[in-house]
Amino acid sequence: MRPKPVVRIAGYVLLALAFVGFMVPFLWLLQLSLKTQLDAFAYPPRFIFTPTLQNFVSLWSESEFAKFFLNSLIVSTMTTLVALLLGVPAAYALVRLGSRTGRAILVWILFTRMLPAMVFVIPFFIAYSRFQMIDTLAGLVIANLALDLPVVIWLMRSFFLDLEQSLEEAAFIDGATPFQAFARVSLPLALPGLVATGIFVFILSWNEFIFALVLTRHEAVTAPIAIVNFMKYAGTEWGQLSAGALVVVAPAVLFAIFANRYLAKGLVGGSVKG
Amino acid sequence: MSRVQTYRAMLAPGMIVLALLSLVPLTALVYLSLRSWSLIVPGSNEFVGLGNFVRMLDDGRFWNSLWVSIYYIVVNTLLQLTIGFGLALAFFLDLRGTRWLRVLFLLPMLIPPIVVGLAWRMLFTPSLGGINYFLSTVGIQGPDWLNRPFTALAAITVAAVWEWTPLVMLVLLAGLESLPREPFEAALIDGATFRQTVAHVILPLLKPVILVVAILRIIDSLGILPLIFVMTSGGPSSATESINFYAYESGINFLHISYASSLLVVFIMLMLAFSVTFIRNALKVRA
Repeated sequence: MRPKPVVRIAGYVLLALAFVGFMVPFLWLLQLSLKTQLDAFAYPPRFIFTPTLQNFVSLWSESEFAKFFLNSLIVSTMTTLVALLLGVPAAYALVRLGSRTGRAILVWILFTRMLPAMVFVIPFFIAYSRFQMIDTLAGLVIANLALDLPVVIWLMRSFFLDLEQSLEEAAFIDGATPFQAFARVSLPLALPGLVATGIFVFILSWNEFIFALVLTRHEAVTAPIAIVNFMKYAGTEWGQLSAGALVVVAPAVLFAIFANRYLAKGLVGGSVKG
Repeated sequence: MSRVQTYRAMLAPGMIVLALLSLVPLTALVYLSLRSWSLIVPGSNEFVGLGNFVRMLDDGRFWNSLWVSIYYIVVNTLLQLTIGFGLALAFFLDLRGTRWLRVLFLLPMLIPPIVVGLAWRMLFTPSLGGINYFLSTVGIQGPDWLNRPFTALAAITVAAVWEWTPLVMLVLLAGLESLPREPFEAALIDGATFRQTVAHVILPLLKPVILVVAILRIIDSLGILPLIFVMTSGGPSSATESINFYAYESGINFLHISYASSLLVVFIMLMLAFSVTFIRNALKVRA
């Protein structure tokens, strides 16, 4: 399309407005994290001030934030690994089997994907209370798995469907077992999709809120919940709060910068044909 | 092992875990909703059939949460679709110097929702400047957003739209870019204006994708629990409380787990119509 200049200008304006609107929260957090308490509450808000890194420093040294950050890291990594381990072979098998039960399973997976986490929270809460699994990292991983395993299966299914079966057939002719065909041919071919899915699941579990809120107390608290607690108990420490928030945002930003091609594929995967 | 046996073996572990982690909890939820269990009342675990659901009909707070939920579903989704479509079009034009923006726009939905809520909460808090400060520079006296019912709802909508419009934009853009070239070329030959191209070429062709995104967002629109939690805690006076937030308050804070379960069952029922449409659509796309 070669639209008229009017349209092009409108496009630029829209994108510029969107850019501003989009950046505002980030910039707001950033400037609050670099201000001292005094500056933070100054009204009208000071845009010219001496920045300080004190908030970031006290975040790591004075609070237990480092521990909570580590918890997030552990939970997200473990969830991703287990979800991939269980989900990737399952997705592949589903695609190759294609039976009526296979379809029923797919319907179930789609259905659970659409349920908000809250629906699982109450049964998990009761079960975990009974089995002493509250406030455990393993418990969190399992809970996240409930949300993320369907996602892995659904996404990897669409990636496996994209594969050309001819290469697999060639492997069979060469005497490979079905599993070898999967591991040596299909899996490497589906690697971009695998990476996309893995990153997506990592971010999903990193950001996960409601399970972490309800199923943890002191030991297994993850970074987002640490921020929420901080907000409740030190409500006016906006500087440290913002600093913490920015740190929690870091993994997502890093992934977006370095893996945005994979990410876009993962996010859109399954929504659009082709 | 035969092929089928291998595939079944590959499928089994995932399916067992899936059944354990989704079938069991959901069955438990329905089971709980038929009882009167409240964790703070000892010995209250009795079968009451549809008793909770009857109770709900008289529960003003439930009806309030229903209206709030409908508000979120309709308003948030409509705004996301409109703005998302506009942005997708703008990106589709492939204007010079705008490629890198696409990556940047991914961010709102990648960052933890509570951080989204935190940032917007701070922006809507008058004493910290933010929105009200910018309004004052053009002479408008901004309200105490988060403490008045209507403005609190608006604030949450702003945050939700900020967070999810990028997803709508991404999917619509992918849809736009996968459209065939011929209709555009035909429109060009016919001398169609931009507006005409959008109305008569793009919109009709994009309808299936728009539908899918719309349903996805409708189903997901009540997933803004973290936003509500951080920004308003459902307040002021339950003005921003959706059904699942009410279920959270009821079940986790007040420990009326059976009533909370029944609230969630109602929620699932409400979403069922949309879920069925989406599932049917999604399974049609591939064999």
